[in-house]
Amino acid sequence: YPAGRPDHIRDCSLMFFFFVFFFAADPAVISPQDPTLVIGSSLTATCSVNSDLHLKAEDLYWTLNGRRLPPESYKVLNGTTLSVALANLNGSRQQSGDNLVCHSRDGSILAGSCLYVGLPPEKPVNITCWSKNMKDLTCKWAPGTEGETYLHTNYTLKYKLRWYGRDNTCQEYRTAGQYSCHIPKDLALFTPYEIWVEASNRLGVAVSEVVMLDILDVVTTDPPADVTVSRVGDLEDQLSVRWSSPPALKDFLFQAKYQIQYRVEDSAEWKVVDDVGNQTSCRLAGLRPGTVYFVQVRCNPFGIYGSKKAGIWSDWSNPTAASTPRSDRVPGVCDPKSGEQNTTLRRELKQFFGWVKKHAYGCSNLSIKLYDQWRVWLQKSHKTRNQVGKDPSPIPYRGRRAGSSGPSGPGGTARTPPPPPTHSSAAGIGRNRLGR
Amino acid sequence: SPVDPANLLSPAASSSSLSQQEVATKIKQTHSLTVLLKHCSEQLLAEYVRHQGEPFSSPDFQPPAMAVPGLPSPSVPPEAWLALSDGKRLWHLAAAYAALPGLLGSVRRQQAELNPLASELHRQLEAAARQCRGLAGNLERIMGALGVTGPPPPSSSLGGPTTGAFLAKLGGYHVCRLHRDWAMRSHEALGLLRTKYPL
Repeated sequence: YPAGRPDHIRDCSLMFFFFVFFFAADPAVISPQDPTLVIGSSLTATCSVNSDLHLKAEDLYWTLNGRRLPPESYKVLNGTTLSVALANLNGSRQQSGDNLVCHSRDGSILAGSCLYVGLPPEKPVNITCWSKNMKDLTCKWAPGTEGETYLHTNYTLKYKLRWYGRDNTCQEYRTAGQYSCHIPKDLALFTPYEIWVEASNRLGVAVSEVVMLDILDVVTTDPPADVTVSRVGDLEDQLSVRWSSPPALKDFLFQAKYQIQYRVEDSAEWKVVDDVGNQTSCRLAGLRPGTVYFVQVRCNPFGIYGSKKAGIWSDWSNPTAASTPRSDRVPGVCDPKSGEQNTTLRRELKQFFGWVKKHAYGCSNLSIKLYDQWRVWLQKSHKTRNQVGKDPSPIPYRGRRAGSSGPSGPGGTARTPPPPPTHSSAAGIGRNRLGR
Repeated sequence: SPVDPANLLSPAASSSSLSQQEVATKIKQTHSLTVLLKHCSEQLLAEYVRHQGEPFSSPDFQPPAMAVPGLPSPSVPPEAWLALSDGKRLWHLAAAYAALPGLLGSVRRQQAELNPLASELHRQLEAAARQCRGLAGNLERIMGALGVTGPPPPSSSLGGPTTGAFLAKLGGYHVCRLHRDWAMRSHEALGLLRTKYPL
């Protein structure tokens, strides 16, 4: 550098730039450098200052992760060396190591050492594997420790054919979540594999149990394709679902079985149809009219190459939506009992009629059936579902002669029952009986 | 001679190999790049200290001065920096940006060991090296157009003995901070050039 530079720049550099070169010797040295320790263990570290600095051991202090350590834990070992005693160490605060630093009295940093405090890894558990379309193998597992080890843990998935020697190492990690690996090719069928996971960190290695499997036992497929959901004519409580079998397994001898799940638009609860069997269509019944449904289908490659075993269920297909027809489209077939049975109004009316029958003689024809008939009549004459609040012409009824006032009329809200006839002056009820 | 024979804008030729318009456009473009670098280098420094733990991440962190081989610290008093000629400023910038990509790469390799899960930090370190290479290329073209001699390529003195973890953290800190300081300086210098070579 200096040789090639023009004069004026060399002059400037002395004034304006400083090229800092490594200290011929470090200002101080901490020992041990970058130790690895188990949680709860103790450590004594020493800081030796370079005699060129003319610093004394008494001029030094320690910090751990920026926090000053108490002077009671220090010990002057000689003129230029100060030690510190750390006990019952906690797990490292960051994976790059806890920073143990030796300072001079004015606060400047003289040297540092990184502590790696943690626990050895535990055996990985719950290894599950699956093969997509018999071409590859993906495995996932869970780390053994429920809590933290505080040290970075490396996982390696290994596999080998059961009766042949060579171990293979999986290369493509994190394809299906953090603890997963993907083996893309060169897998044999009809022969068992041994699969295991090794976890290692600075404090040691832990090996999982060995899982043994045949690729053919863990086959799954893509979800069924071309899922369509459509109405069944005018039927208000049915939908027809159709799909095609996943394309990849056309060549392999297997029988697929399918499952359907569906839910209404604003509910999180799925209903599952389990006994779909081998067909590629199914009719859903007992649905609510005028409702949007979401439907998904999945596939299980059952009986690959004639085996009796089931494979692994595929992912659900993307949801397909369809709606059932609204029930007012169906003329005359509307049975008030089916849609309306649970309305509060109807329930309360039923109770009212029951009470009226008991307390007002001659209302024996009064029943919830009359209300139902009225509703059917409503729909026939107005062709709308709910006429609550409107006032149609009165229905002829039979109770009047016997002195009852009949149904309380097309009120939208349930009214409280009138007081018992013996005490009341309420119009109509009991009048012809009690009044004179 | 520091001239790359493949460089068509040889300083030996006259400085009008690019038209005034083309030079001004290149300067403006490079100035925009320094705006980006200023922003990204601040973010990188913040992300870096976050992963090293205290005392690196504390706001009043005072690191000891440390050697970063081949990379000068732009600790020039502002007036002195401004008093330099454009050519001299460009020369120093070119020297810094020739060295920075390699240094940032070393930091990334060290952080892959120290903080293996800090993927955002790794991504930012790679992006920073890329941006520095881009700026170095731009500076070379501007200098060629203005007839300014460039600095010699940096010596590949980045090997060195493996350091302890604490020194690695410290070294990485210095690289990231110098990267930021040089970004500020280059932004300043290119701003001055823009006023002198307006579009």
